[in-house]
Amino acid sequence: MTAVAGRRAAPAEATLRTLAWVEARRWARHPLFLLGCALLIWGAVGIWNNLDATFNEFRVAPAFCVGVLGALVGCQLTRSMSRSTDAVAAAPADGVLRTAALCLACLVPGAVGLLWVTWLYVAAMAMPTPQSALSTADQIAVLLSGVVASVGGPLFGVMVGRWTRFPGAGLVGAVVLIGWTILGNSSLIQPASRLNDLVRLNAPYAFWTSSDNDHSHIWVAGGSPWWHLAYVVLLCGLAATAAMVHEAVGARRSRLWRILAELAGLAVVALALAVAADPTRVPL
Amino acid sequence: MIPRGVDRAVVGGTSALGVAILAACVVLADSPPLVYLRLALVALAVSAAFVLDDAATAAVDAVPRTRRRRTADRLLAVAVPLTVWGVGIAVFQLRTPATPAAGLLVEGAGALTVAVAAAAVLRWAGRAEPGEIAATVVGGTMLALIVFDLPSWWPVPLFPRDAGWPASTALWSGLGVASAVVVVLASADPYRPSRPVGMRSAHVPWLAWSGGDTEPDGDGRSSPGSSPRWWVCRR
Repeated sequence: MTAVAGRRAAPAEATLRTLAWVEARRWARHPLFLLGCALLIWGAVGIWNNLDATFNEFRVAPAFCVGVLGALVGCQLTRSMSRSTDAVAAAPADGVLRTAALCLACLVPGAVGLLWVTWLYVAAMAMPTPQSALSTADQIAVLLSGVVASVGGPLFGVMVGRWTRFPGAGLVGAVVLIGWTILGNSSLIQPASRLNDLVRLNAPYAFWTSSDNDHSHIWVAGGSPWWHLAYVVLLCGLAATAAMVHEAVGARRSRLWRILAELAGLAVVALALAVAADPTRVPL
Repeated sequence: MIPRGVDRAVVGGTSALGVAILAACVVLADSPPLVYLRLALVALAVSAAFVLDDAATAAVDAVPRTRRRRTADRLLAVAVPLTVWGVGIAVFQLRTPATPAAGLLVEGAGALTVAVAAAAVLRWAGRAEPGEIAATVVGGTMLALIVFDLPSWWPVPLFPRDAGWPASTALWSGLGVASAVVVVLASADPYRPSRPVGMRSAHVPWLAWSGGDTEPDGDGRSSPGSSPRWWVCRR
């Protein structure tokens, strides 16, 4: 008894590392995640010989296969311990730490997304693809937004899993994510303006190239890809913080609410800067 | 309208999401926004997938009411998402006559039946609450088909936009009928004997030794109080 009482508690960082490792392994073994990876490989085989100047829009593949499906995985993993709440509550890690571990485990789909997007970029560079109106830096920003989407979807799922109690919430969250994205990108059929850019870029996933109805002229939409990337990174931070707030108490809860407000303010600024760029559409 | 035992929060909540999306489509869109209509259908399919969830399966399986009959009772709850879909499409067609209403109605009915069939199969496999997995499989597949185009070699569009409506309607009709058959087959009671009541059981020698109930109308089991005599005979 004395030995047990006298043993020092593990520091929070070590506990977080251990929990994050456990959650990452659970994530990597989840059937939906494995299905998403298989779909990505299938997609890679399918587009291998089909890369043109709009190749960066193929980032929709990781955004859906490990991002949207990751929202379902995140929600399920978060809720998987809800039936053993009493036992989990006795563990030497509070809810905030467990949620933070789940958020860190979202780096697993992020790594897969990064790998896929890197392959896409290297393959496009190796192929004789036509010259694009997007600069190399902007192309990298657009591609990286696909990686951020493959982390953001899972983080959104963790947040939904923490804040909702009804089964099927993960899928409802996925429907909301896709609805938001489609609604935002529907402004591509409207004339070029800052207001339409605001409608398009407020979505967590934005398309940057589109065409007229007859598919004859492909053009690049206005706005700043790098500031939009900053905006979606901040949305990821918002989702992770909102997930942790649910379990926090006392001073820690107040601090997390303050961080949430600051991140929201920064996200608004980043979105404003993304929209402030020239809205003119440039032929690709 | 929702039978007892069905999770009203899930069925009502997801149907309400479908109502919200359909209402937004009716109010805001001038031409058929098929993508949004189908997002509403995903929410309604999720609703249908949870209809067969029963946390008290172990207890309910013992009541003198067949699983098929209980399934039929629960399927009344599917009327909620089905009605939402039907009314939504009808209202949208009143506003926009170009809406392919018949095709969309068949598509909706087919998708809901497929969701129920997936849940029925999982329940048959031993899951008391198959809704979460069935909803994930059916809803995830539908979302993928909304976001991505099918390969060019695929002959029939599942969610057509401009062309291919007759083929798609035929496909969803077939899927709906096949799913309904699956629901009926997968709702058979696993513990109920298949022979009709009153049929004589097969001859089992040790029942005769034990002096059990071997009358023509009996069930072949020993009557109370007469059971452990077989060892007396053998000795």
